[in-house]
Amino acid sequence: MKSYNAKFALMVLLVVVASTLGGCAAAPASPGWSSLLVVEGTLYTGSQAGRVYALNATSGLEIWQYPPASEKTGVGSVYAAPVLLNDTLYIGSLDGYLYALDANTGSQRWAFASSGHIFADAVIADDTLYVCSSDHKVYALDASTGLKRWEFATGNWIWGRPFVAEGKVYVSSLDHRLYCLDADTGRKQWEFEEAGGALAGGPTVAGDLVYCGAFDSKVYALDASSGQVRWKFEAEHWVWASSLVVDDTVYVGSLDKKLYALDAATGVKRWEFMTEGMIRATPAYADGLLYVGTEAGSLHVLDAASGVQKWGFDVDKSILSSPVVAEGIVYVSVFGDTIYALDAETGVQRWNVTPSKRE
Amino acid sequence: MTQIWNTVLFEPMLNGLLFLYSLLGRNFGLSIIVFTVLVRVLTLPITLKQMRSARASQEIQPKLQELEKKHKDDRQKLADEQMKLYKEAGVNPLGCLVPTLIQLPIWIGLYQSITQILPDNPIRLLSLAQHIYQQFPILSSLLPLNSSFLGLDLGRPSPILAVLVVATMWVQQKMMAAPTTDPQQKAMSQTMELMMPMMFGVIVLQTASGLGLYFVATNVVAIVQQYFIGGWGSLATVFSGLGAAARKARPKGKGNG
Repeated sequence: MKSYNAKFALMVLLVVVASTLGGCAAAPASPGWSSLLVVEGTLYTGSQAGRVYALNATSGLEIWQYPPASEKTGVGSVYAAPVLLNDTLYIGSLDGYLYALDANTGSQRWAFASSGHIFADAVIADDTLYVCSSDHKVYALDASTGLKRWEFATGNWIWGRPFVAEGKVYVSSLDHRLYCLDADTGRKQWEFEEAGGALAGGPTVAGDLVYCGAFDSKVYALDASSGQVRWKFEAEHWVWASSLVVDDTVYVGSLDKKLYALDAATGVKRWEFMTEGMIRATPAYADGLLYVGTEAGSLHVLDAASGVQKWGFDVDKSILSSPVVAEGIVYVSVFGDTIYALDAETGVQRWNVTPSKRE
Repeated sequence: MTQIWNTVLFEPMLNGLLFLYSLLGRNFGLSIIVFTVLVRVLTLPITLKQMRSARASQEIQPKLQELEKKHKDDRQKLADEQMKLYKEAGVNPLGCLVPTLIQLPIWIGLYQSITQILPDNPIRLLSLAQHIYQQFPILSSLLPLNSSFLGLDLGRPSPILAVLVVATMWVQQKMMAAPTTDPQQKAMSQTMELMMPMMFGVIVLQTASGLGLYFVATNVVAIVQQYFIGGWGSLATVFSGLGAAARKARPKGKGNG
């Protein structure tokens, strides 16, 4: 009987372990990051619960939410930053839809369905909206109606925002390639396929160069007209963040926990700043200062010229999206949808709010 | 503790899987199968010990039952006699438990590796980034993995694999089950033999089917191992029962026609 009891105990143990494992795996996708947009005193953001919020940027008080509070469930989780054109706010969701909302009221104007999660920010140029999806495609939509003008398929998910410059759309994909497309037709002009890893962040164009980071730990600078490599810089871990170009310097963070300042023309390192956590998001820049968040939950504010830290701010959750600076305030969204508003010069906290927990 | 777990077990397994993926033509399904077989081979001494212990335990079952009848009114005496019998037969009553407990972390490590290696969103990929050996750039270059295998997407649940998991696990358990005449023990044994596979089947229905493929592969290897050590075991009685039922169902007088 003893061995049967032992066997029974083992079975129970296995069942418990198995159910625990199953429970973990069956859990919904991990909470992600929310991104911010601040325009004329209003802060727009999405949440992991699938709602879009407009908040008063001075007080953090809610102006509206979409779907309205009367609707119990939201749309899919929202990672992407909203974009604004006139009085229409555009934002992609993990339910595969790109929503166009009335920026004043939050009511829906139209929605465009892709076949995959939308993680990336949409981009507007002239009257066209460019949006990338995990269905491997980039779509060009009429910004006023949502009607599709063209689409282009890459070989894998697209998680980074596209970049539009000089009539071209630049798109990086997790298929390890960067594509240059004609903005009007979607026809491919060239593709860059020498990266030794996936390209998860969006490209950045400045002057005649396209900058992109890859999972082979490199930052590439490509000729915008031909896709030829002008220079490359090697970090010590994946480069996921999009590059920020200010004047003649490229600022880019890496999962090696460092923020690098590189000469935009040559790729030569000017300085590096070591943080405590992986840097996934692009830093923000305002008035000679760089604002960079880390996965370890710290915000570092550095002098852009020297890389010397001016002040820092610690939260207990990861900062995985880019901070936004407007009207002397830096806004930071942390894991779990809490937004902090800090004085951009001193770091003194003005307010913090978790819109999704306020109802 | 988490750091030790990751360094000693989880990360070697995860990166080992990635190495295999690069060696096996970027076929993740094949990598899971080969990896499972390799782990099974490496843990063969433990498995053999477990199987031998189970077999020895089966052999002394009749004597144990005799003792139970003989000392049914004296629990202390029964316990002493049982221990004596175990000692004489060289059987550790927990002999089949310990090896399984040793293998448990390996299963959990493999489970974690398979579920983490196919991230479908940026947060999971960010988590994976922390565990990939950066000193081997080729590993990062493999991402994201091709999750297609024989028409299945190993990153999504598959009912086919869930059914295969239930079937193979039931067969394996049936082969390992000790024959018993005690109706209570028999009922408990049968419940367990059915409950466990069903439980795993439900889990596989909800998780990435890469995990289901691992369960199927590990069950098939265990079935082969068990066959060479103990034959078909209790499964033979199922076969003979089915044969008898088929003979009974055959129309009478067929031979006269």
